[in-house]
Amino acid sequence: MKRLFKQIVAVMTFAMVLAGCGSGSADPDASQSSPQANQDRQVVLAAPRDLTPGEKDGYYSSLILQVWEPLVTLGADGSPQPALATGWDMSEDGKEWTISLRDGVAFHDGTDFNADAVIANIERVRQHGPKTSPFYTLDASKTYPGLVSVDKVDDHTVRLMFDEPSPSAIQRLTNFGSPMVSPDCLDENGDFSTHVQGTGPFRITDHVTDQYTILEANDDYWGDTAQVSSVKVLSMPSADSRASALRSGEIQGVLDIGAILPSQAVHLTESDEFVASSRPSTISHFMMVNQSREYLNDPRLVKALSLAIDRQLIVDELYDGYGVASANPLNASELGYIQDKVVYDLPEAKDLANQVLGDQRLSLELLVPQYGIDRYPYKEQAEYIQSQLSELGIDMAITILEGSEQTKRRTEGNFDLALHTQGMPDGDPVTMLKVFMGPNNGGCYSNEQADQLLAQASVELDEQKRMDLYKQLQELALETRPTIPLLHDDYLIVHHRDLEGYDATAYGVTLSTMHWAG
Amino acid sequence: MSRDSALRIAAGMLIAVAAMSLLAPVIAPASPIAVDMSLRNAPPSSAHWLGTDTLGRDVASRVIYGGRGALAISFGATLISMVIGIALGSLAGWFGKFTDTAIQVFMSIFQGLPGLTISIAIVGVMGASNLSISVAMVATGWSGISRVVRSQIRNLRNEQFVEAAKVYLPAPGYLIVRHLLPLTMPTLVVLATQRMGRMILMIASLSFIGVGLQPPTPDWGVMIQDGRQYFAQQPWALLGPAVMLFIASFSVARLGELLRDRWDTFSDDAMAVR
Amino acid sequence: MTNLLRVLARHLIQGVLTLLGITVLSFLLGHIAPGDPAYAILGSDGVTVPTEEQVQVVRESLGLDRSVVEQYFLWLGQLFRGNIGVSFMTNRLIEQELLARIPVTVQLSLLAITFLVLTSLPLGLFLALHKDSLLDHLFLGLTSLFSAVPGFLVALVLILIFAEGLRLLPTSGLNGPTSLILPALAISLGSMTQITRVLRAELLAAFGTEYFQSARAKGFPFRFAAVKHALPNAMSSVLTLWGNYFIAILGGSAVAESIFALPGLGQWVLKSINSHDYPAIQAYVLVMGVLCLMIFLVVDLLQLAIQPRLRRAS
Repeated sequence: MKRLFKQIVAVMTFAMVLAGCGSGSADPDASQSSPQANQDRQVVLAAPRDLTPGEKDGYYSSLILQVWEPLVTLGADGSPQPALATGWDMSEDGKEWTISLRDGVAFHDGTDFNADAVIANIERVRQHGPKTSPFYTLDASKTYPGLVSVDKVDDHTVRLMFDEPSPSAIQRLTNFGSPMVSPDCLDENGDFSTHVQGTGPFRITDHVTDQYTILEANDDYWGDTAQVSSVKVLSMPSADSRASALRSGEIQGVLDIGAILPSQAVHLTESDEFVASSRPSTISHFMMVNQSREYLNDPRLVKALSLAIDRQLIVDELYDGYGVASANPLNASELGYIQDKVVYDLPEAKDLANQVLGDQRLSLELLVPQYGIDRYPYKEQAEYIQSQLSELGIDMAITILEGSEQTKRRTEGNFDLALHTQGMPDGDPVTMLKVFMGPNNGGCYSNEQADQLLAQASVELDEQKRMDLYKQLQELALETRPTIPLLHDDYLIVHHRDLEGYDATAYGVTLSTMHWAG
Repeated sequence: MSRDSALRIAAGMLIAVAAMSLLAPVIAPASPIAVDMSLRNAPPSSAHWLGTDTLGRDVASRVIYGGRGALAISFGATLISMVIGIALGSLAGWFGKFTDTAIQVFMSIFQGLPGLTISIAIVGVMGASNLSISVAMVATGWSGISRVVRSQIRNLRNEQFVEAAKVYLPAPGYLIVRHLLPLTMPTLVVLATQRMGRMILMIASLSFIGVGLQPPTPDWGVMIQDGRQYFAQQPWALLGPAVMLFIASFSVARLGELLRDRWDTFSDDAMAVR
Repeated sequence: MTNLLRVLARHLIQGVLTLLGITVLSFLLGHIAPGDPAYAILGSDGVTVPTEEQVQVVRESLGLDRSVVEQYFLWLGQLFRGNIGVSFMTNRLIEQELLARIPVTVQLSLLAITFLVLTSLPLGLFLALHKDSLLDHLFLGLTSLFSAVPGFLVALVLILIFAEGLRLLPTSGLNGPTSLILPALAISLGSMTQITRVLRAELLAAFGTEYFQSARAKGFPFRFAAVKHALPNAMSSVLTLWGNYFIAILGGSAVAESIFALPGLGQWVLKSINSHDYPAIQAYVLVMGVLCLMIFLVVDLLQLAIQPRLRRAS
């Protein structure tokens, strides 16, 4: 019997050793340092969500993966930069835009990128939209409102015709506003029938939902080709798992918004093994207020809420300085952004709340999205706000919901307070401001002056006047509080020092320049 | 260590934990929910014996308060499970035949599912709250008790003295409650402690994965989850509640074990699981 | 032989009745859930807000305007046709999710029970043979300690030691068979000591029986007799125990899947709870019920195999 026992123990030990050998190759320290590091070795990264939602998604994969490219991207100052479009011109009356397309570009499946392709892509959104996506919604009425037609001028020029002056049309085409994919990979419903065929430095070769995406370098890329040949992007929802995976060497870096908690980044970079990189991002954090609810419809209470939250404290403590405290709903990267001075005044807040509530205590529910827990310090943020509001006489209950469920309740108006992130859908400030101040905004904010200014700004052809309108809108927002912005996020990522050329951008990482350290 | 002293130690531990929870408002050095963002994740000091957590709250106070919810709910739920289990088990064991079969089928539904599954489903559907957690605990607890009671009553029913008693006590209710149940007491007490120990752990598990007690209520399970992030710089935020959780569930379970050994009761290990 | 069939038939009928009971439970869960299912289905894309008429139409098509009992049978009928329902969250058939996720949970639980059996069997035997040795005392002392530690704590410690410290195993995700080792260990560790202890006790009891004594009298060496004569009898109650612990392991997989980010049933139901996706929760209960019933059936069959006495129906 003892022998049997010993045999079993031996087998188990053997199995454990085998397991150890199997995953040993994930350890980067095991690699030989050669004079020219082998760039064929697969880079493994992790993101907090599946960056490739797939066939039924409007985009198939996120912009970050650099598989598809837009016509224009966003510059550091918020102005549009050429990508697949090389130049653009607006007519005198603002109703016509002529866009020049880049020459010598092909999609991954070999088809040419030309005017026909662009038209097919735009028509896809017009006919089959809106298409939902966890990133942004592909909606013709939001991205090109008033578009009458898109015509081919020649193989490398298209013309967009609008029924009203659209000075910001090119702004709206930035990033997620104009994904360009090969028409051959689309089916009759505007969904994808194969992996997305874009023009980017990487192509998707494999994908398992909620698990991983495999990218391979596109050697025929029109710009600088990627330096590594293969990347595996894992989907890891839990922040602790991602940090763990970095520490254990399973992954070399993280990407996507909210890829690593600021506190984890600080901790990891204390040792030399890891490097952090950050850049002001296009994402902002808000606490949305349903201003149609009893008591919340009193602007004094909303002001009290805003004054009771010490935004700078949140940025310094919870985000470890990675962020910009602000009460301006417009993101810091937007054109015409004006930095405000944040105010924290608890005594005044208490006073205002007392005026509205008197002696009674108010019960409110704060909806916190699960993605906030997985990617940001939302749990602590919520509990901090809970304790602050308690001083105002408000008993706030915290409810954690799955992201999509929370978004649904916000759009339906079925909430009191809600924490959420809002990214810049495109480069047009009006788009973002409309989310909070325009018609059908979830917070039930209603202000005539806002409506006026928004309508004006959309059609104002004079750039100087437009900027002035943006300024007025921001000041109006700061005064009347359509929502309670908290801070503008920093795009923060961490990577192992074995990976170089891996830096954060406003919305993504420099995937094509990353390479193994030699 | 003799059985007696081991018993006393286990009982003592349990009483200490219970006392700590009951007297929390008196013995806690600070408020468990007072946020102080200037002193986050601080190491132990004279002001904060176990340091502070990620919102600057006093860990020691939170640990002291942390068992209240779980202990109160598991105690209450155990009592209610006992009542339901005894009632249904007695009915099934005494009357047999159809009543027995019906109740057994009912029991098997709840025994055919893992306790955690039932709990997750109930809490998921009703929303996490003290009420839903209590309902979930009762739902998972009662069937094991009723099974034991049923078999005990069944065995006792055939005893001679019962036959004799039936002559002058035609109403079974009185007979069962006054004469038979007391005989099952030792087994039931052991069973109750096992149940309670398991409930404490289950509530902690539910809280840990986020479907248990909600903030700002301090709870050991929640604190362990929250403490993971800053474990390297402030291990006490996680260790404090982990140790207390262990002490609480260990003392209850050990007490049950020792009582079972002492009273040499028949306790079916097969149901010791769920 | 007919006796055997009769016994099997009885078990089967009990199983079916229990299954029906579980369907009732699952149905009721969906019923006590707050919110309007019709509204939830229509508004699930988070963009459109349905009108009252649209909601009425869907309500009628779901049969929500009929009595509870009628609704139950309607729902049951759907089940038999293989339609487990549509998820509120994804607006897709729940079947698809289930098909992808059931194997993960089952594999995890099977690995856990394998660990359980492979340790409790030899260890229990060893300890019974070396009763009162140092190891024996040590072990008995440790049992209560181990059973008081919740699975999630064990998981955290394991991750710290094996994944981050020694870098032997992955910290999370499902990337090959090694990903299941730590989670399986986390779920089964607590029960290992308990079952080993029971097996040890059962074996010791078996050593005292006439059957065993006579075997020894016949001249069989102690160790050999322990395996051939004592073990089969001791196995009977341990087998039931293994079955019960398997049930508990299945339940505990939810916690392990949450910590280790495994795409199984547990992770799915937690996501569904956060989405108020009640049909998904109902389906979860049903699937777990079916899995557990199958386990019970297997245990009963194994019992019949080990103990021929049971084959004669009482």
